[in-house]
Amino acid sequence: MSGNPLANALSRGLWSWTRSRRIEKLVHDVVVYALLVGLGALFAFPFFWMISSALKAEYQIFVWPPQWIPNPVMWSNFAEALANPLLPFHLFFRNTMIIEVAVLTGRLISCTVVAYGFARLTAPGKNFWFAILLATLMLPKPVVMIPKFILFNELGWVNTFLPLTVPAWFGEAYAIFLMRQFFMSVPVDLEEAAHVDGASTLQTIRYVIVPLSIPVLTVIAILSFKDNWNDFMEPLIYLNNARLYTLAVGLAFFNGQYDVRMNLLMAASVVVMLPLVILFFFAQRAFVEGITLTGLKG
Amino acid sequence: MPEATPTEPPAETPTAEPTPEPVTEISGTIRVGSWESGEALDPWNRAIAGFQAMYPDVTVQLEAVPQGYGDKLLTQFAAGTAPDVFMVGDGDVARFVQRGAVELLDPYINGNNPLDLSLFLPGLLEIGQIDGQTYLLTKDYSPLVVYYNKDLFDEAGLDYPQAGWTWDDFLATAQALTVDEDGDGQIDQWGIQLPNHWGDVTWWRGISPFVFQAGGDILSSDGTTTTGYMNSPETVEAIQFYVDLYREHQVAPGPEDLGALAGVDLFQTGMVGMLWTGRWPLADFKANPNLNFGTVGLPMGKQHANSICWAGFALYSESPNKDTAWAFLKYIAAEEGAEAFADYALTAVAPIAEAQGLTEDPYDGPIIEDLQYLHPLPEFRTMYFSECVEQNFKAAVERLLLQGGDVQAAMDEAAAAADACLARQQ
Repeated sequence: MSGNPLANALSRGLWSWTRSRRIEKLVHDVVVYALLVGLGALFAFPFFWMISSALKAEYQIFVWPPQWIPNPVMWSNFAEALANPLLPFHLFFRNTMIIEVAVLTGRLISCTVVAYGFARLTAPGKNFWFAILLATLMLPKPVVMIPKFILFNELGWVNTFLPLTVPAWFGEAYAIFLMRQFFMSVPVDLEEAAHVDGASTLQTIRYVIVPLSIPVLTVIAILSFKDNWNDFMEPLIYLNNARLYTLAVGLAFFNGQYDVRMNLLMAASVVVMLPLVILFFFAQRAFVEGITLTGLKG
Repeated sequence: MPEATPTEPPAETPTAEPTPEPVTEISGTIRVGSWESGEALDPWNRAIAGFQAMYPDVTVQLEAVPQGYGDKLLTQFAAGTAPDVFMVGDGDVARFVQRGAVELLDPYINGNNPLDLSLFLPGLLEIGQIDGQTYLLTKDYSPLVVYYNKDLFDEAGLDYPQAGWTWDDFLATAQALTVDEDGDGQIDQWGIQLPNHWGDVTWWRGISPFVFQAGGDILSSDGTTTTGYMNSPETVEAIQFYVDLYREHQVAPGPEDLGALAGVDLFQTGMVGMLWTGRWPLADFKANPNLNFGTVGLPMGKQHANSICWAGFALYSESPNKDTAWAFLKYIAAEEGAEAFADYALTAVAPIAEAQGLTEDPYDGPIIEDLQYLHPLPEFRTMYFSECVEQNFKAAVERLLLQGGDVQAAMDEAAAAADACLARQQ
């Protein structure tokens, strides 16, 4: 250390300044992490409890004080839940997947085309139609439920998958809105270049827009998948034959009239939820990216 | 769907009653709606198999909707595509009948595929009737009943309650069974656990027998007014008696005790001497080797009365195949098909009940015996019963139980509010 008072003072000040900054940062980090851990635990708890209940014998579920770790671990619950002859889970799964594939394909194709039109093409009254489209978001589901049911009934589509899948091929307001916002953020130069090279509108969408829009398409795919997966009301209303039921409706069968086999219900619920968790796990990055991007640009 | 080819139906030979060979065409497909699931579907499957064996030309499709049953049914009513035969819970009867979704059964009962109404145990046919017309047949039911713990009665040196006991006997017995064992001012054993539904001590259906026993009611027979019924001297007397059991005599665990003891079966643990509830815990009580108990019909006030929790079968008014639907409805409500359901819940069919020995059964006997005193359900008189009548009644009783006060004033206020609510709906 030199005897320069100014330098001394400076270094002391600098030292205390960095120290206070470091403490501040430390406090900040501790608070943030504590909140994250606390909230994370809060959100993970029901999930943990579900898995724990799924592995217990029935009489152990409601004991007090609660048993956190099942003992003995009843793996047989899963076999019993999924092999019940009254509950053809493989059929429920197959039905759900048929609906999922049809809905996802239809929604992604139809919404991409429509959203591109709203984002780029010019047509008389375009904004008016866009407002009408957004207005359909304001309609509560129960209001359209009965008219829709009567319509599909007249078409003779009740007790088939058609009412659950065909509408997806005719666009969906929220997805169109999200995509339109995203497409508008794509630089026009790219499309013009494609246009100069002789690409048609559909080719432009296919080779320019779609590859650049993977995040938003992922978001819509995941949200649609999740909504379909958990949808209870629509399959319940349209499907009468138990062999056509989806997983969400089939799961309700575990609520027996005289006793709810809670451990089996939980085991089945874990199995039903697993695909969603896995899907989110793999698509998480694209999903979050898509949400934040559209959020920024929207 | 393979369409059945119509041929001559074979002569039916039900055990319950010999019916003449039906002249109607019984064939084709009918759909049946139920909210049940799991093991409760077993009787359905057995009944359907039996019916299809009798009528090979008929296909019966069971549509079981364990959740959202009412929502799905209402949607189907709107589109005219509800099942041909469907289950109706006692809370939905008024709504479904007033919508015109339920076919009047009397023409069929007296038609060319008739039904002998004397088959049913007393009081149960009337439950499915509105203004003397039959809309529904009983599927299963549970009247209210008093369970008593014989060991606690023996300890206290009390005689077991007998059919025909009165409110005074009831109160005296409950007082004799209420004890503070260690003298700390806290009651350790209560005389009676009054009707509560998942801890709700203002449960109208459970309290209603007191009102009917006093000669009161809660709603006019046309379902339009509660003034003069909910606040009549008879009803007020009954509510006064009920509130006094909690507040004045303290022979029953009150709302706060029940809250503190939530999840504990007070009757099985010997913390109450008597229990006023439905038939549903009977199987559990019988399975408990340490519980020595009996059942008895409800006590009488001015008169005998009981109420019921009930589920019925309805015929859909827009069914495309009513004759076949009626044949199936008759089969499951009164003939062989009813035997399958009788293994799971109380049957309404007298010959089946006798074959099961229900009337002589030490536990079920008193429950069946009390059926003759069933009071028609005021719930069936208006579709706004729960939102207008029941809500105001419950709010008044809850206030009386928690804070006391003048019963007449509270019921006057509740009746005025209920009438205003009913008037808004007209």
